[in-house]
Amino acid sequence: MTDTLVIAASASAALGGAALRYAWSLPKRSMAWNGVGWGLLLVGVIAGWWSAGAWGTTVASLSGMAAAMLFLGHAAATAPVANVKASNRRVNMLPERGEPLHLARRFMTFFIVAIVALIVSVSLGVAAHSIIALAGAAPANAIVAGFFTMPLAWGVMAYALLMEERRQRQWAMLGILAMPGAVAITIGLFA
Amino acid sequence: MTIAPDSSTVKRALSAHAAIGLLAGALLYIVSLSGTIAVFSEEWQRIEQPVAPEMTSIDPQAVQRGIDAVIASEAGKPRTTHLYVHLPVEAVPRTVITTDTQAVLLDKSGAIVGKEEIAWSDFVAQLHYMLNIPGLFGFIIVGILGVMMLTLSLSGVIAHPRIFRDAFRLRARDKGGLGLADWHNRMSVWTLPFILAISLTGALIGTASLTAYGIGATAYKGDTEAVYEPIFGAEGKPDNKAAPVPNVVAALDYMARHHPGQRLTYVTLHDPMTAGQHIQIVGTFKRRLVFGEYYNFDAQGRFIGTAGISDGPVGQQMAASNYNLHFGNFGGMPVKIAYFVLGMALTAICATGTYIWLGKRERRGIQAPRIRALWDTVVWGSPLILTLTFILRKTLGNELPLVAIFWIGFTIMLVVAWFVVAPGLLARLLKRSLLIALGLGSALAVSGI
Repeated sequence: MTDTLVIAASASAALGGAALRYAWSLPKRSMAWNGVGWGLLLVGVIAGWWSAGAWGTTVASLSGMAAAMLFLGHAAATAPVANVKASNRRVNMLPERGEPLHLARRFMTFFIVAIVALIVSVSLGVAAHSIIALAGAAPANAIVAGFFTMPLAWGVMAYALLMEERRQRQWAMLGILAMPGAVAITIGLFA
Repeated sequence: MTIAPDSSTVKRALSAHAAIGLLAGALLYIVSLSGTIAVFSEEWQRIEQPVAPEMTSIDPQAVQRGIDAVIASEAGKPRTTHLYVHLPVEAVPRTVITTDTQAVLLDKSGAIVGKEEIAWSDFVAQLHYMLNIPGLFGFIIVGILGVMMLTLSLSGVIAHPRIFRDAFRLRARDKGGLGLADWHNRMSVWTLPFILAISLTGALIGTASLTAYGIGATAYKGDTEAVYEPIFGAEGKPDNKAAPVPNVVAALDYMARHHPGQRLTYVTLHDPMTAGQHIQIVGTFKRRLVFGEYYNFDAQGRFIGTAGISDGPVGQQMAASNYNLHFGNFGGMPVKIAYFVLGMALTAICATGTYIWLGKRERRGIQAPRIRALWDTVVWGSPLILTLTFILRKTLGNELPLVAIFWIGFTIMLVVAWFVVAPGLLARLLKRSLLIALGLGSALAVSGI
C-alpha cells in the first residue's frame, strides 16, 4: 500500500511538471492549466507525506524535479538557434573605468552583512530557543527551533540588508532584529 | 494585480545576487563539486579498496572477536575514547572497526585482515564538509556558504520576475550570453527545492555549533555539549577505572530478538575498557529520513533505552533527518543518482553565474582576462586536480598527503592563471587535461587495482 501511494505521489509530481510545461508553452497564460500543474505538484507532495511522511514528500519532490529536468533537456534539444541580444545590465559589483573603488563603503557592507548580521542571527536563534522553551515545548524542540532560526534568519537578513541602500536603515534593521536576542541573552546570563 | 517586483527591486536584487555569488563563488563551486562526488562516498570506498572481505551480515560472536582483537592490538597505547564497528550494509558490505588511531577490516569470522584504506573518499568528504580546515572552523565556513546559498536562491528568484513563467524556455543554442543565462536560470528554478533543502540542512549542520554556544551560555550554564543531549542523548558518566571488554554479543542478541529485520549500521563503544563504558547500537528504518535510532546498553549488554531520535519530539526527528536529507542516502541508488544529477546542476549553476557576470562586463567593453583566467581555473582546474588526487591515490597508495596535493596544486594553478593571462587557451588546456585525467581515473576505477 505504501509503495503504491509513494509511486502515485511521484507520478503526480512528475505529471505536475508536465502540465506546467504545457501551460507555459501556450501563447496566452492559462489559469486552468497552471492550476492543474501546481495542483498536481501539491497533490504529489501531500500524497507523499500521507504515504510515508517526510520521506515520501522528499521522494515525490525528487521525482517532480527529475521529470522537470527531462523536460528541460527536451527544451534544450529542440530550441531553435536564434541570436537574441543578451543582457549587459550592470550589477555594480566592481567599479568600471574611472570610477572610484569605494573600498570603505564596500568593506562596511561586508562587515554588516557577514559579521554583524551573523551575530544578530545567532542572537535570534537564542531568542527563538528561549521563547519556545518558555512556552513549555520539549527541550529538543526549542533547541532545534533555535538551530533552524539562525541560518534562515541570516539568509533572509543578508538579502534584506543588501536590498537596502541607505546605511542608516541597515543599522536600524539590525538594531530592531537584535532586540529579542539581546533580551533573551541578558535574561539567560543573569537569571 | 501583479505580484511581480518593480524594476528597482529587481535591479537591487540582481546586485545582491551578484555580490554574494562573486564573493563566495569559488568556495561554493568547490563545496558543490565535492558534495556531488561525495554522494557516492560508499561506492568510492569500495572502488578505492576493491580487495576486502565482503559479507551480507556478521555474527555477534564475530563482532565480539573483532573488538577483542582490536583492543588487544592497542594494549600499551593510550586508550581509545570511542570504538566504532561499522556493520555490513548494502552499500558497503564490509565490517570495519575504527578507533581513535586506526581503522581495520574484519573477515566474516571477526579476524583482522588488514587496514581500511579509503584516504581519497575521506579527503573528498572532508573537502565538502570542512574544506579540509581542521576543527570546528571548517564546518562553520561551509555552514556559512550554505547560508549564502539560501540568500542566493532568494535574491535569484526576486531578481528574475519571469523565472517561473520562463521555466521551460531554454535557448540553449544562443550565443552571446543568452544561452548561458538561460541554462543558469532554468537549472536554478527546477532544482530550487533541492537547493533549498541541501543549503538549509548544510547551513544548519555547519552553524549549529554557533547557536549551540549561544544557547549553552544562556540556558545550560555555559555547557555547550549539554545543548545536544536532548537531541542525541547524553554521554555516560566517565569513570576511568579499568573494566573488561563489554558484552557486545548480548546487545546484538537483544536487537535480534526485539527488533528482528531492523538493519543495524553501527555498534559504538563509549569509553571502552573503563567502568563508565556503555554500548550504543544504531538501527535504521525503511522509508524514514531519520538516520536511525540509538539503542543504548550497559557494559553487560543489558538494554537501557533509546535516545528517541525516531519517535521522540519533532525537533529530535527533524535534527536526525537533516543528515540523510543533505547527503541523499535515504533511498538507495535511485536517490543517489538523483542527488548526483541535481548536484551537478548546482555545480554548473555556480560556474555559470560568474561567467554570466564576466560576459555582461565584456559586452559593455570591459575586458577582465585575468579574472576570466582565474575563474576558468576554478571551474576546470579544481575537478582536474581532484581527479589527479584520485589517480595518485590509486597508483601511489593510501598514505599520500592528498589534502596538501590538492590545495598546493590548486594554488599553483591559480598563480599560473594570474600570470599567464590567456583565458581561452587556458580553458581549452584545462578541459582537455580534465578529459584525459577522467579517462585515466575511470580506467583505474574499473580495473580493480
